[in-house]
Amino acid sequence: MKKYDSKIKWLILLPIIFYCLFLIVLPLLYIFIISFFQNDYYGGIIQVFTLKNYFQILDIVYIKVFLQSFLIAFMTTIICICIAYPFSLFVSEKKSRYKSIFLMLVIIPFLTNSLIRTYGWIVLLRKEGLINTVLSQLHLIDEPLALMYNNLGIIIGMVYTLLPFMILPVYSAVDKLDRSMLEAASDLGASKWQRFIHVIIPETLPGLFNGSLMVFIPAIGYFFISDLLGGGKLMLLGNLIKNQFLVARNWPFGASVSIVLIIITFFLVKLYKKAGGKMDDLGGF
Amino acid sequence: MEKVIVRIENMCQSYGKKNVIDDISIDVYEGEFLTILGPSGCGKTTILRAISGLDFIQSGKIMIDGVDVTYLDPTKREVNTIFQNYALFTTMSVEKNINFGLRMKHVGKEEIKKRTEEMLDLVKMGEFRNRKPRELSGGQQQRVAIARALINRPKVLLLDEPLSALDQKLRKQMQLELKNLQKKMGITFIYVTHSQDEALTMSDRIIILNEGKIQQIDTPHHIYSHPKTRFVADFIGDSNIFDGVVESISDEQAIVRVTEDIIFTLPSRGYKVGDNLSIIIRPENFTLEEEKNDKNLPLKIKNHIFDGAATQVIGTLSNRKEIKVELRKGSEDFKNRETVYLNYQTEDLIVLKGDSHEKV
Repeated sequence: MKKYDSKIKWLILLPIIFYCLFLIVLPLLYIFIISFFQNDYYGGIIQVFTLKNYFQILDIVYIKVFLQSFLIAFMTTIICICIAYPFSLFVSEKKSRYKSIFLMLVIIPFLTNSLIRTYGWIVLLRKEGLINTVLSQLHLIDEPLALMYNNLGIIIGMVYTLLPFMILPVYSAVDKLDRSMLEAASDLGASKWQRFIHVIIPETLPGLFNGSLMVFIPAIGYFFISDLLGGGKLMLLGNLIKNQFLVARNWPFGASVSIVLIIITFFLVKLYKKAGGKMDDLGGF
Repeated sequence: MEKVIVRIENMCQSYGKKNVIDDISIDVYEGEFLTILGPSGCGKTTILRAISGLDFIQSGKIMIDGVDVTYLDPTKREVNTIFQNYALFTTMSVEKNINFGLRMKHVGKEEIKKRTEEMLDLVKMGEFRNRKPRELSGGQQQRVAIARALINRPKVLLLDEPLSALDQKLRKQMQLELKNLQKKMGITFIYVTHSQDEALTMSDRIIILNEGKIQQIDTPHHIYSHPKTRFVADFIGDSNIFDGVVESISDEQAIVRVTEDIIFTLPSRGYKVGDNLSIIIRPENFTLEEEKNDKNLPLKIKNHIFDGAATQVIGTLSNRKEIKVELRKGSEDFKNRETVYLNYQTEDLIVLKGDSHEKV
């Protein structure tokens, strides 16, 4: 009987093991190995050990790419926080029927491919786009605003795509917050702002960390947003990696950048755990 | 005349169609321990939230220390609240919880330190200053909540069923601590509870509230001995209530008939024939007798209940009405008898006029 049970267990686990092994572990291992190989001029890989690819990252050009990526990701995260808190506080005050409607509105766009949604933004943001047309028809602006093909466009796209990842954990933390704690705070003389800073933020910190991680990490790697809304002018880490593999055909270098990105991500997750976050909360989707 | 510290005038409050508070006026005197007592859902907490400003009232007026605060934000009112679940800030240490109010008001560092120490001393929580609330017992959390409120030196402290989360023994102990604290600090306490036991032991005055209306405002003694309404008599202490009709009046004596064979004779205070009266007798005011006479009532004994301090006899009258009798110390307990006879002193009877809420 016992033997039979464990056989069934293995049978159920088999697809998962297969999936992890062939689609995650082996490709990553491959990336790790080729990051130590040399490349030739025809996009091939020469199996000779070298650390050249890693030293190449220290070049000022690539350091700049890292810094730009982190800056964009950082700003995206901050803006998402600034939207998620007011939204969560607003929705959590509502009756449960309205709560679910608001949350549905957050989740529904997920059902569409994010690439397609990003194309949608082009229609809105470009020079002859909806926003500029309406504003100039209303004579609010003389010439079209540069809303895309710049950093602004990238950040708009990033915030739009990643906002739900911030809202959901922040909302669930805010919704669970004991209202009497807020009442106690105002009873003790704390103004609205003081309640936010001294009570709401500290009490919902795990949700805030969770959301920040879920926004920050993808924001480093989302190359198509920078390609579409940034006009490819700004090189982000995601773009760098994609270009090395598909355009420059320097796989070993692309691999080394990927490995560095993975290590950075790993440390961010470590930081999150140290701040009291739970790994389970990250796998909510 | 004592100074009025909180005055509520004609307060009304309704949620949806339900009137929670129905035209209530209360004067609270400086330094007193006032308890608002009533069954759950009677509107006690609503009154407290109106005073603290957490809810604004729909009509009426609230004055604190002579100032109209009806439309004043809770942050600007000189009252503080102890919440039922304490509502301590879980991420802050005991010390940070206690001086939260002072920090929000940007009081000087030295002052904050001094007053925090005072409070930690007062509630004997000095050694736990760096603990988080979840690392404290219920009683300790309670103390932190008290210190957190008192550090602001409020004119009035509002307490919303603060002991309901504690176990029986701790509750008794905290009752004493609260009472002592109130005496020591001289701060006005407005205390909300549904426990008559708490109300009777701690209060200077008690307000009995039912369905949004004040039934009686009085000292604990008076409430017990002179309840103004049937509700109060029933709610405070154990009582045996007989509803009867005045059958005849002669020589200033009213004959009140409850049933065929239960009749009370009592001095008439302006009763008329046909008046509905409620006659209330506290369990301790009955005496049990062996022999029947023309006044006492036969009681069929069902049960003896010993609660550690006294013995209660539960029995039924001829109309199957259940009666509670508390035996006096040293009196015969009639353990081996089925029927005894109930007697009472006429002056111990509490008589209320029927449906009206006036005491006669």
